[in-house]
Amino acid sequence: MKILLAEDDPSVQIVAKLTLQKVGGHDVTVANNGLEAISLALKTKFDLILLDGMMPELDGFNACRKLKANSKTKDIPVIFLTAKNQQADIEEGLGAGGIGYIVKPFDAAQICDEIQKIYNKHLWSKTA
Amino acid sequence: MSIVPKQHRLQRQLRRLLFILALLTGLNAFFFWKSLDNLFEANGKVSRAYKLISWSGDLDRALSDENKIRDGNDKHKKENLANLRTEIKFLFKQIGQLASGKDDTKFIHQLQKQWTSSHDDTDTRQLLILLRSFVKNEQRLLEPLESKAADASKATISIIVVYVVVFGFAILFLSQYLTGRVFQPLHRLSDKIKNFQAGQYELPTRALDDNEIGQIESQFYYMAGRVGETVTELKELDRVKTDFISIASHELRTPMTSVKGSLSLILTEALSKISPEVKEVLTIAEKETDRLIRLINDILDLTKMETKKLSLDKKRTSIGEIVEAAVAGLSGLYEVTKVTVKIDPKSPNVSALVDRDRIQQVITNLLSNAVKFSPAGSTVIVGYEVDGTNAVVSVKDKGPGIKQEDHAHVFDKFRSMDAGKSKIIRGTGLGLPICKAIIEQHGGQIGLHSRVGSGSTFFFTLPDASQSGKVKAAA
Ligand SMILES: Nc1ncnc2c1ncn2[C@@H]1O[C@H](COP(=O)(O)OP(=O)(O)OP(=O)(O)O)[C@@H](O)[C@H]1O
Ligand SMILES: [Mg+2]
Repeated sequence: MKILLAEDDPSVQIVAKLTLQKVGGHDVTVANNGLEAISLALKTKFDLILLDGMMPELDGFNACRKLKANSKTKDIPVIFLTAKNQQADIEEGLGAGGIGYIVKPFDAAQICDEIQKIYNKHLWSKTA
Repeated sequence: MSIVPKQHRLQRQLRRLLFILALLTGLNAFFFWKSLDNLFEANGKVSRAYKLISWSGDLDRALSDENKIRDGNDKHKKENLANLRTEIKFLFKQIGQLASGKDDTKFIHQLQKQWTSSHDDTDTRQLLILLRSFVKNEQRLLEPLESKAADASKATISIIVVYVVVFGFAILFLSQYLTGRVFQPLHRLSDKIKNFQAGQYELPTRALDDNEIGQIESQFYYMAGRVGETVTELKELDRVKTDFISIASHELRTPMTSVKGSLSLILTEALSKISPEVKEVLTIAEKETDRLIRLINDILDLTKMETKKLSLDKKRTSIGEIVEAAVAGLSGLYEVTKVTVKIDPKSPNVSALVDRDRIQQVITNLLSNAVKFSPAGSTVIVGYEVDGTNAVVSVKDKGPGIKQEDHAHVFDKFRSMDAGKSKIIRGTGLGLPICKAIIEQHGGQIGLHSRVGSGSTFFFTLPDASQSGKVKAAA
């Protein structure tokens, strides 16, 4: 699938992108922060958006709220991929409109399956 | 140490006031005494004058009686006369004693002498006339004496009245003074202290009065200011700590994400095939990375719990369900260690008010320790029951046990006693301290029974337990 990855840390950008490409076989575009992610999402059509929590300019939670408020992007599923691991953070993320929440660090062997599971469940719930 | 100079103003004022009051009382007593003296003296003189008049009347009568006896012809004439003379003598003596002043006494005395020596009627008459004039004179003196006595009693009364009024005013003033200068400021201060205790740290720096109470007030303000500063500092420290936790949490986890992500990505061989040696080495690196991540999570968890930043999401939950979830969660470990885990619900349907995830974390920690330290082929028993109002969960193993002297330390941070013994999972030494923090935040207690060679039982209690099964059975 066509995935937009919003992540500010350059190392994580490379590792996550490679993992999604090589292990999951996805087409990955990287945005450096929430604002960039929104403008990219408005230009190109993505199947899924992965948002980091803490990012400069616009953080993941607020970026998600903006995406959900825009009719052009509101239907693109969002999964959070963040180092924020508090119960309150998870609740905030899901409350902002995310369909899933993955806490960093991730395991390259598992993350693609995990993403696929969340995505499938979401599709299934939508069609049902 | 005091920043406020010592004050004696109130003491001085009060002392001055009491001194004035004492002076007033003293002055009054003096005047009162004086007027009483006057009164008694005047009264004495008046009563003496009255007596004098009455004595002289008696004398008059006695003399006329004498004349009658002398003129008459009684057979006891001589005897009667002698009696009468004695009586007159006595009367003279009395009058003499009452006479005021030396001259008067001398005069009476002379009269008496003359009378005693005279036998003549004319002499006697002459004496009588002299005595009369003396008494008359005394009577003349009586009138001013009477008015003087009346004046003296009036003066006494007015002194008493003045004293009562002045004293009343003084008392009124004193009570006003005490209310305004002592009690009201004390009440004000007590209100401020109460507010301070309630957390209102903003207070004036200067006292209203510059007396002793003002001094206490200033000292209180000074002390309160210091406490306020400390509280602010502590709050700031607390904020810094909280900030540190969230920043450290993010900043430590982000590089770990790249490391763990890279290692696991290489190990998937999605990039390229790797030799078995490279794989072995990278596996070690990945395992140690996992351990480091666990350590970071544990340290941050513990710090949060110690700063009471961990908010519990308490709901009434079945203890059995939590135990089952924890036991199921570690199933991978049982195969590796060849240890069997059995659940022993001593009382069924126990529930308690708990944060489910946190209690599961505790049971998982205790269970992983028990399994880690158990010999292959042995059984670990996880039991739960109700004891009074508490729910009790215990994890029993047949491991090596823990030395009595180490019992007190197993819940200390970084106290992996025999970490080397268990190669399966290398711990961080934070498992038990985290368990302790979670249980204590729930209001429960954690402990162990263990002897070297006969295994260990770790247990914890949770308050507010209830047993729905009992209710059902009774119905
Ligand atoms: N069931 C047990 N039997 C024997 N010793 C134990 C048992 N449980 C704990 N201990 C001792 O107490 C120490 C501290 O335990 P704790 O759970 O705090 O740390 P750990 O297990 O070493 O690391 P972690 O749990 O953080 O991975 C252990 O290292 C071990 O020496
Ligand atoms: Mg442990």
